[in-house]
This record gives sequence, structure tokens and C-alpha cells, in this order.
Amino acid sequence: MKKVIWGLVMMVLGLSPGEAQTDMRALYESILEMQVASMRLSRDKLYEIYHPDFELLQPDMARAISISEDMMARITDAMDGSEWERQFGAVEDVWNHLRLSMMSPLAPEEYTRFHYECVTLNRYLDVLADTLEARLESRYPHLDRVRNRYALRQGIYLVNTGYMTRHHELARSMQHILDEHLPRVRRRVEALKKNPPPEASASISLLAAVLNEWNFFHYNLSNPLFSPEKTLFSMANTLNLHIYLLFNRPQKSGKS
Amino acid sequence: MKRQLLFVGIIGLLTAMRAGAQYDLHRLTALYHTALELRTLTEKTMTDAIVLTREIQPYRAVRHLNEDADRLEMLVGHLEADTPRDMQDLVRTVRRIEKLLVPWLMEIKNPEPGRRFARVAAKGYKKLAAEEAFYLHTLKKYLGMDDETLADLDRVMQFYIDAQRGFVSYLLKDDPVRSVYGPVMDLKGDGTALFDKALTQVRKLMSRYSAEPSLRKALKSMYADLMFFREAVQRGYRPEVFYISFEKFDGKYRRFLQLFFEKNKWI
Repeated sequence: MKKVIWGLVMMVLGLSPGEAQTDMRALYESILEMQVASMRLSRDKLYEIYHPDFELLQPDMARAISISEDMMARITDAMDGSEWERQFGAVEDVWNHLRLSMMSPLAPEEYTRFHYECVTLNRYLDVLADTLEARLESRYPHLDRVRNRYALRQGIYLVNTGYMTRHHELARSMQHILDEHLPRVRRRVEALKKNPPPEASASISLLAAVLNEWNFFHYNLSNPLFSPEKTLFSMANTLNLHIYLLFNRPQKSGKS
Repeated sequence: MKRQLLFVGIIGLLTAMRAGAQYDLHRLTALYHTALELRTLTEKTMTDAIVLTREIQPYRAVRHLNEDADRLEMLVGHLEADTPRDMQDLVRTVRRIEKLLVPWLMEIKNPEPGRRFARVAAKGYKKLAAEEAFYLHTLKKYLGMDDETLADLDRVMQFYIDAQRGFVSYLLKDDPVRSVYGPVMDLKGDGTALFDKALTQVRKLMSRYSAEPSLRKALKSMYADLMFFREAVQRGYRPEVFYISFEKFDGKYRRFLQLFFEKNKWI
């Protein structure tokens, strides 16, 4: 009955239910991508405090902001005038505040607030993703897998942030990040290794690269020989790119 | 009873005849909406071309330039079709706009850095913007709106134009071609002052239209964007990143413009 009503609503809006679901699926992935971007921004702002002259930092921050602007525009456009606007309108407010804070370098004590604003945005987006998931699950039964791979990418940035907060004097409330996220990411990588989803098994070499890179990243978290902060930064980015490519490889046009 | 009915009928007939003799206000306001969109889009198209000469986000900028150019031609087509034939001054202005638009678009669709392109683009822009402003100014007299509402219509246009010019001021801060665009586009410093001006206009609009939730939301969102742009130029943010946000601001403005006219029941 619910499906019939939903179909009728979509017909009135001039969309076929299929089209509307496809749009919602794209929106769903935009929300998850925004969550990854927000954690990347938080990581970058932290590096700005301790490695302000690191040559990879500014381009990375620019990239993360561009992605965030794009994703936020998609999310707010989709919510515009919809039933979710009242419930999730605050997402835009949090984002507006965040992007203002992003523009100037932060002091360590300001960073703590910035990070928790990113976390707040993330929580809002989580609830929004849950709401969408409930609607989409009938058509896309394996959405949990999609969410897992974004959670893995997010987790890698969080582990990177956690490493930095552990090794620098920041608020006590930030000391747990590494302990909280490292086991989760490890579990997700293990799951990827043991039971790779069909998209991932289609590219064995890329999957192998991701697993190798993870090993190297993981090793560096406890490397006693030298300070791996910049290495971790680059490795987190490479891992993220490769995980993204693993699941979003360009389709071949020909059949041959 | 019959007499009373006859009286009411005659009064109704006379009122209808009088209304017919005047211009259809609804139609004129819709025309004003189109002209306002045209004026602001010309400003945006000029920005698109300048962005391209600086090779900022070239793929996006080319797409936007082409889309905006197509829309400009379409809007002029609408103006030409909808301007009442007996409003001779407006009809003549639309013809002049059409005549200026086509060669200007041909020129700016192939932007290149340097003063030659800047001179041609700025010259065409100056004439076109003046004609568009004249059209709006003339049409405004026929709208029959109170002064405060007319001032609001100006604010709706001006804050967008100021934002565009603020962005261009920032882009061309240290560029030699600034001396060509500067006087024509009224560029100021690094753009901070223009963003400040835009913020003031939006604040005034918010004080007048915040009772309507959708307008309040749209204005609030654009206000936040303008604040961000102002901070960005002050802190020397990279234009590559700034441009993405700016592009989104344009989308918000187009939706706001439509909403503004709809909610006031003008279109």
C-alpha cells in the first residue's frame, strides 16, 4: 500500500518511482561522500596547526572544500521544499559555520571545537542517510555495503586524526579517537580481504594495492624509527583514492 | 431590483473597459522579472568569461559560459515577444539589446587573457548593461508599485550584481587587465567593500520579507554565502575553491528570484 501511495506521489510530481529512487540513491551517496569530506577537512585543519608548510596540505584542503561545496549543494538542493527541510535544515547552518572557521588557521584549543562541529555535521548526515536508507532498501538491498565502504574511507581519516591527537597536546576529549577508530577500520579491511564485494573482486590488482597500502599505513602508526605524520597524511589520501576507485571504476564502453 | 442589477452591470462594464485601456500589470511584472534575470545574467556571463581567462576551473567555467550565453539569448527572445508593441521606448530598447548581445556573446565565448579581449568584452558589456538598466528603469514606471517595493526590487538586483563584482574585483586584484574592467564594472579593492554592500542589501530584504519562511530561508542561505565570500577575499582564499561556492550561490539566487516574484504574487 505504501509503495502505491509513494508511486502516486511521484506520478503527481512528474517522476516515475524508478527515477525518483535513482535520484535518492545519488543523494544518499552524496551524503556519505560529504561525511568523508568533513573528516578529511578536520584532518587537514589539524595538520595545518602542526605542519603549516607541508606542501600537500593546501591543495588537499582546497580539494576537500570543493568536494564539500559540491556535496552540500546537492544535499541542500534536494532538501529544498521537501519534507526533510524542517528536520534537517540545520545541516546547512552547521556547514555555513564550519566553512567560515575553515578559512583561518586554528589554535589547538579552537581545533577541538572545530573537530566536534565536523562530528555534529556528520551525525546529522547520519540520521539523514538512515532516513533515506529506509526508503531505498526495497530497491537496493545491499545499501549497508555502500555505507560500509564510505565508513571505511571516513575511518582512515579519523585514524590519521587520532594519531595526531595522540601525539600532540590536545584536549583530553580527543585522545580516544585512535583507540575508537583503529579497530573499526581494521575490521572493515579484514572484511574486505576475506569477503570482497563483487565490484572489488573485479579488480584484484587494485584490491591488492589497497590491502598493501593499509599494511603500510598501519605499520607506520606504530613506527618507532621516525615521525610518520606526513607519510600518514599521504597514505590516507592514497588509500582513500584507491578505495574510491575500487568501487567506482569507469565502465568500459565496448564489449570486447 | 432590475434597476439595481442594471446599475451594477453598467459599473462592472465601465470598470472592465478602464482596466482594458491600461496595461496588464501582471504581464508587465512578469516582463520585469525576465528583464531582471537578463540583467543579472549578463553580469554573471561577464564573470564567467573573466574566470575563463584566469583558467580557474576551466571545464566548469566553459560549461557555465555556454549555458549562460544560451539562456541570455532565450531571455532576450522572451522580452522581444512579450514587450507590448505600443510601448515604443521599450520595444526600441529590446531591439538595441538584441543587436548588442549577439556580437558580444560571440566575442566572449572565446575568452583569452590580455588586454585586447578585455577591451572588446568590457566595451560590449558596458553598452549592453546600460541598455538593460534603461529597460528596467523604464518598465518600472508602469508597474504601479509603491516606492518601498520598487526599492526592494532594486535591492534584489543590486546585491547580486555587487556580489559578482566583488568576486571579479578579487580575481583581478593584481591583474593588469583590471584597469580595463575596473571603471566599466565599478570594481573596488579586493571586493570586500562590494560584499559588504551586498550584505547590507540582503539584511534590508530580510527585515522586509522574513515573515515568509521560504524567502527567509533563501535570504538567510545567501547571506551566509556572502559572509563566506567576504571572509574568503579578506583572507586571500584561493579562487579555484571560491569559484565552486560562487557557482552554487548563483543557483540559489536564480531560485530566490523566482520565489520572490511568486510569493509576492507578481507572476
